[in-house]
Amino acid sequence: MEDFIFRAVLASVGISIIAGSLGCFVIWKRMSYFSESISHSALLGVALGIVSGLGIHFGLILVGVVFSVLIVVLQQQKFLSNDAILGIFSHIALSLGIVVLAIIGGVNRDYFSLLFGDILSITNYDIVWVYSMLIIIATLLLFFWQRLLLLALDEELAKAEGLKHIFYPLLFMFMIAFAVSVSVQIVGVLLITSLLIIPPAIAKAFARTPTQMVFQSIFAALLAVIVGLSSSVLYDLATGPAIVITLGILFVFSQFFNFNLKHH
Amino acid sequence: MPTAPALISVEHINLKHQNQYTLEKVSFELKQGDFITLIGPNGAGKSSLIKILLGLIKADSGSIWRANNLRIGYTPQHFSPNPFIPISVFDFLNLNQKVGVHFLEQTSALTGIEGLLNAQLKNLSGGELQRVLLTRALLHRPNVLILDEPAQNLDVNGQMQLYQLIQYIHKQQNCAVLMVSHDLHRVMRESTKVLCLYHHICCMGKPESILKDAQFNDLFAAQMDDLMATYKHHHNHYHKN
Repeated sequence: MEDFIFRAVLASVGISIIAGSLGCFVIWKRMSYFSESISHSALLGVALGIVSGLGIHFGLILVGVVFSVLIVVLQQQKFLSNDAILGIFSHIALSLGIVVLAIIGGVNRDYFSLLFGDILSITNYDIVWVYSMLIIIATLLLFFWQRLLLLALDEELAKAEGLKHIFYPLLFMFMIAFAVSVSVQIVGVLLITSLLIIPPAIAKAFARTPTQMVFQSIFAALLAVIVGLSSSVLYDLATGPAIVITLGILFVFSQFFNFNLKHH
Repeated sequence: MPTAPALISVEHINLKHQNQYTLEKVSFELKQGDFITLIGPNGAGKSSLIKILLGLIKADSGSIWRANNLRIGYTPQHFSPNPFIPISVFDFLNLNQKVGVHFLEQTSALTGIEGLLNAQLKNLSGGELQRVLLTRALLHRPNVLILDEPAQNLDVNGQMQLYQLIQYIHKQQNCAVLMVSHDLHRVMRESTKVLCLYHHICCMGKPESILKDAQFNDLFAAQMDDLMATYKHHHNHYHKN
């Protein structure tokens, strides 16, 4: 196997596990728009990472975390609806990212690969990042699993039972920011949200318990990423769209199963 | 006769929202063995008072005292479990709390949900959901049950059964109860004390004395007529007409 393909597969496997598990919470907590906003801020993260010389991963995490905090704080103020706040952030972030990238002389910068993913760009250093994030997110999810699940199930009940700290929404948003930071290179800024929400949407057709849903979602993500990657290499397609189309096909099939289950 | 020990006591609680009193000088005590029903029109501050008792929001002034051995079991007014999460009743009851299987089965038998443990939470009816919530509250081994309108969205029969269950738990588990209710009919029969709230406490006392209170009658004039009409021949089953 070519080296770059091996690295791409390795990175994809890590990202699938992250997105598949975290994505369940994105679906449960109806936060796809939030992950959309954070992924749009990724362009700014890349730009700032290059400008500061810290590298794109630090830039991505920094911008993701700052945006998460701003969004949570603004949501607590309740002067605008949540979707309006997210909409404002999302597009300002995207525009800022493009402008800053242009200013720092992004003449040779390949926007297309940032927006839609590029497997050729994966380095060994990136793989270290992916698996570091995987370990952090998996540890957090395992440790806080019961509490996060109760919060997702019914926030009022969870708060009444003592989970009222602002730490929990922040924790959740930080995890999304981490996930976004390592997924940009494979699926691209515009398509990260689909990697987070389509696998759990597929798993929901089959799962009977929350744990089942997480594992099935990871499996769906893995399958789509491997198939998507292969077709991307074989037919020279952009990686992100190839993965998302595979996910789309799996989703359509899963809904047939869902339909059968309900009517027999 | 020695008085029962207090479990929660609040004194001169004030809570303002946009320069208007949501709660004004509210004082009362919940003692062991009490069954207090909290009544009042919509927007009277009932849920705010409960949130203060639970420590979810802070009063602007006043003091609140909780017994050291206080264990609260609470069922919120609105509980619509997230329909996107596939989770069984059994898993929900075990979620984020350590419960022995035996105790869980015992409690489920008490509330009559032992047949539902394997059902998906999202498929339950309103009445079943209330029983499941009540079970979860009881799994905390509470000595105070705080129930925020537990019977709303239930049909008359379902309400009847739920109130009977709460009454039974109150007696059998020696658990003090603070229940928000709109159901005057029920209030009059079961409570040891009725607390009528309209931002301030309009009146408080035994059900019989409340009925004679002028402020109470002003607030609930329309419902009282209705209550009086049904009170003399109450049913334990539901007629369509």
